Amino acid sequence: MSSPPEDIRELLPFWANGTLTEEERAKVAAALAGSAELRADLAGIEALHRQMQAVPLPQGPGELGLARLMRVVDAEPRQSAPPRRQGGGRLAASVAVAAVLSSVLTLTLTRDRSGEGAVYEQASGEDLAATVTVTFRPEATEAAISALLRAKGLVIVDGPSAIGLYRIGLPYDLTAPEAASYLAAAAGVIATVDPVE
Amino acid sequence: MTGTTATADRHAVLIDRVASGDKAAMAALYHALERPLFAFVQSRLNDPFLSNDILQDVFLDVWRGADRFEARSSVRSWIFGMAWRKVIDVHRASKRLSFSDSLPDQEDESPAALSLIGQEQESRRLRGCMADLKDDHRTAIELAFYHDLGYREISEVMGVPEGTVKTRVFHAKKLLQHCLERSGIKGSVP
Repeated sequence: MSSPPEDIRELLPFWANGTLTEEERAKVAAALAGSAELRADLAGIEALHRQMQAVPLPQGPGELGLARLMRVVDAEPRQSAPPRRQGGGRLAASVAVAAVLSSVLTLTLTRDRSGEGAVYEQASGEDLAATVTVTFRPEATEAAISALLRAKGLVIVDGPSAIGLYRIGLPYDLTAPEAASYLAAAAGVIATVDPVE
Repeated sequence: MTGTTATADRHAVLIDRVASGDKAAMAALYHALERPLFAFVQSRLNDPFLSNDILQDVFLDVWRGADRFEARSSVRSWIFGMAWRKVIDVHRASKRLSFSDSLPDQEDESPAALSLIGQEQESRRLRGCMADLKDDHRTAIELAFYHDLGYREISEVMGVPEGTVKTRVFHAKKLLQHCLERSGIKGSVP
């Protein structure tokens, strides 16, 4: 009897770990059925696979590592993302465009404003005269949000926090209730507005 | 649906959500892959602190680049590939190891060494035999038998042709089986 072909032997480890395609499995199964040598080879491979699987995974950084990661994630604003290039199109382009936002972003409106024209500025020692909590629609684009804020001179001064909080500075000619009403009216961008304190 | 496929689908859903800025999905992906990824990196670097840093870098890259993930590969192989490239960078920078040369002949007995270590005799022997493999072979068989990656995924992770992966795994398992047989572990060689 001739030896089993090399290409079948090379597939046996991946038969053992269950990662072959249906077509490959059928090919290997047929070869196994006709070769005791191959079956013995597979038995050894399965034994080795079991031995390696029996070794426990080492303990990683766990929750401490996640906390460390999320501190960095929270500290950096999300950048606009280009549409996916993948053929399957699992994501709508609108979602990719809106990647700057998580599905729930909350804005806190403040009186602290500095600079002209910018939409995002760093906060420092703001005096919180009033707050308005706003939830953005997931499909809202960065451009739409930017236009909405710029039209009234609103400026992001902080965020996102761990729970997605953004703080927005108000121009001096706009009260917090006015800002809340203005944002609530932008139904295409804003999903909810909490009552002003 | 196989378990492997279901897991891959779950990862794909999570990466889509991460790409849209979903931090909860990021945490879920971390929970799903942190331990195997740490095991993979730690077994290559033998330095838990550096491995932690690499892990952090990899997951940050995932967060920042999830929108660039293309479904041509699995999420797992994409992420393991990032880790592999960072490990290579570390090795190149420190010149600790040549990736085409074999590892030192003797078994590394340090507690922090290769994270596959257990207290059981079989685990020690297995580790000793693993350490005798060339690093490329060791990586390939670890990815195949410890992390259950397919040869296509391993090819993506290591950046080598699929045929090379199959050959490496084939030879690695042969060397391991002979080594384990010499060490007295029954059932390793038919």
